[in-house]
Amino acid sequence: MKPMRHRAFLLLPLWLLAATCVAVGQEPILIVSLDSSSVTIPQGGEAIAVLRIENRSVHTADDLEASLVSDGVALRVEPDGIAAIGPFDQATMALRMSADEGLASGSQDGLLEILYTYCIGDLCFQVFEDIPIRLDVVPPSEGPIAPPPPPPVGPLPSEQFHWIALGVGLLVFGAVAALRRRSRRTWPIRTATVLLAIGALAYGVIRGQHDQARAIGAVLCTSCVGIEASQHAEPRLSAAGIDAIMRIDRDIELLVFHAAWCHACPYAERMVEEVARLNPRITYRLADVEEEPDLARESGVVRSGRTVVPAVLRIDTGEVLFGAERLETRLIELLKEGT
Amino acid sequence: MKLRSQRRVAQMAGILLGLFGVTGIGMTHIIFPGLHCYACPWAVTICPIGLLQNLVVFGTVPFFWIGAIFAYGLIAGRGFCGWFCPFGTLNDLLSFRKVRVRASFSYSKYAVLIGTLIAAWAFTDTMFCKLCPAASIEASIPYLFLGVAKVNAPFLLHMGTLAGTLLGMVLIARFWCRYLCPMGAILSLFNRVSLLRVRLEANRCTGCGICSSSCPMGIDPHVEHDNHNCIKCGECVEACKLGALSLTYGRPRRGKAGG
Repeated sequence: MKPMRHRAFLLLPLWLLAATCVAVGQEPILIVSLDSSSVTIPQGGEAIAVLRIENRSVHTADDLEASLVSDGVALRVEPDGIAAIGPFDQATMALRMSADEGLASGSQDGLLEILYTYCIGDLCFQVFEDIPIRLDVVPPSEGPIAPPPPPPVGPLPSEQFHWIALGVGLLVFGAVAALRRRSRRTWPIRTATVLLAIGALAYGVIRGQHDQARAIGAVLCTSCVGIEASQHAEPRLSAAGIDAIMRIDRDIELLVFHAAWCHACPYAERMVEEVARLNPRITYRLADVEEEPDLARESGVVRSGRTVVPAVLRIDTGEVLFGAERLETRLIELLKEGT
Repeated sequence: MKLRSQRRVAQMAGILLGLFGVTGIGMTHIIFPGLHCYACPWAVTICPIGLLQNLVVFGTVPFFWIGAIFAYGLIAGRGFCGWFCPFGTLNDLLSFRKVRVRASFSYSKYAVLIGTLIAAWAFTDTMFCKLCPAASIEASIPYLFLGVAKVNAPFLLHMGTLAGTLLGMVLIARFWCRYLCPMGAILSLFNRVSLLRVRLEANRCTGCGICSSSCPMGIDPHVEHDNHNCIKCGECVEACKLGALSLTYGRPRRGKAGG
């Protein structure tokens, strides 16, 4: 039998690997959820709810704060503040709620307000999210006076732990590779490679990094691959541009398509925001292409299966602008069409 | 089927996987085992270098990326350059001059790799992608015709790097793979580990050097058959009429291993 008898199987492991990487859905930036939509609080007592936070984006969420909009119920968050939730990290917060002694018993609807920021380059965005919560206030004898112990809090495991684990793994691999140089036997280094590959792939999938990779590949960020220049500066409209925008005398609605990691998107978003601020007849809405892929497809911002961001759609005409280069000029042309 | 014909079939499979998006299946979770731009309108796989830069920008510990790269390294190492990578195939098609250049120059691809990582970290941007000749062919030009790209400074920069690389390919066989490819640099680290290997039976070798003159990567297979630059293309195996060189997958047959 010839030595090349196995070469037909060269691609087989590749296809097996491909088959294991099955596509699943995509998620927004931070997913926040309560362990229960209703909380029972005794008058003058305390109750604890658990807030679970999952970062499904490639950006770090900073300065996360939670506050409760409710009559007679105060909120204390443990820990006081989570400094940062890294990309694809998870965290939990204990929400310790205490009711006033004089609060009437009965149910009331409260609103848990979540506030956090994330930055792309020098541009930062503040995100609000509201979670409705039902508060059942009961007489002290019916509810737990002593609240249950709080759950483990804070981001776990930390990025530092991951870097250390990765460093140890590569060191072990390096040590085995060094031993390979002294010996003709290849099985130790191949075994180490297999173990490291399987371990890293499995842990990467558990952490959702396969989704992260797919999300990066699925959306064409025009500045990222050099189709246009990156725009990191704050957009500034020219005097002539401001004048042209203010002269538009018909209602126009714009839809700005963006993605969380797109470098040029914040520039386009800020530009359209400024245009809408100057002329109240121009309104706009932001659409995250990951959250609204069907809308992106229907709006024509998908070209050959790839969603292109940033993209600005004028809804009444269906015209789309791609990218952020010379955006002021192109945006004014788009707005003036048909006027 | 001759070895070269089999390689052409595998290279076609690589191009087909690269352009599988024409079927409309969209992006998958697969990291491509070569240099293939994920911005290509028909790409269904993720460019390992583009993804790595993004992970550097985001500060993500790249477990999934490392797992995939180690798997590819074990499966074939730089064999993917010779057998699967579409940009490697383009290099192959322009391999008119199998010249030998000073071997130490080939370490420049490691400098490109390190420079790519440092630039991503320093500029928090995918700087390599803005110069990548694969992106020039697979993204800039198609998007120009799709009405997304314009003839602007970044486009012209892409065309400049593409023209320079094509000229290099014509003058020196596998120019990109030899000196500049960061993915080739990564896979070359696994060349001595991978299951696909070129083996030498020293007792059959007369040292005639015909394998060296046939090698598109400008190495001496009869001296260093597991050189980090070897793309396991098998040109040397076909050139050697004495059967001293062979391409094997997995463990060598008892008594056949040499070198």
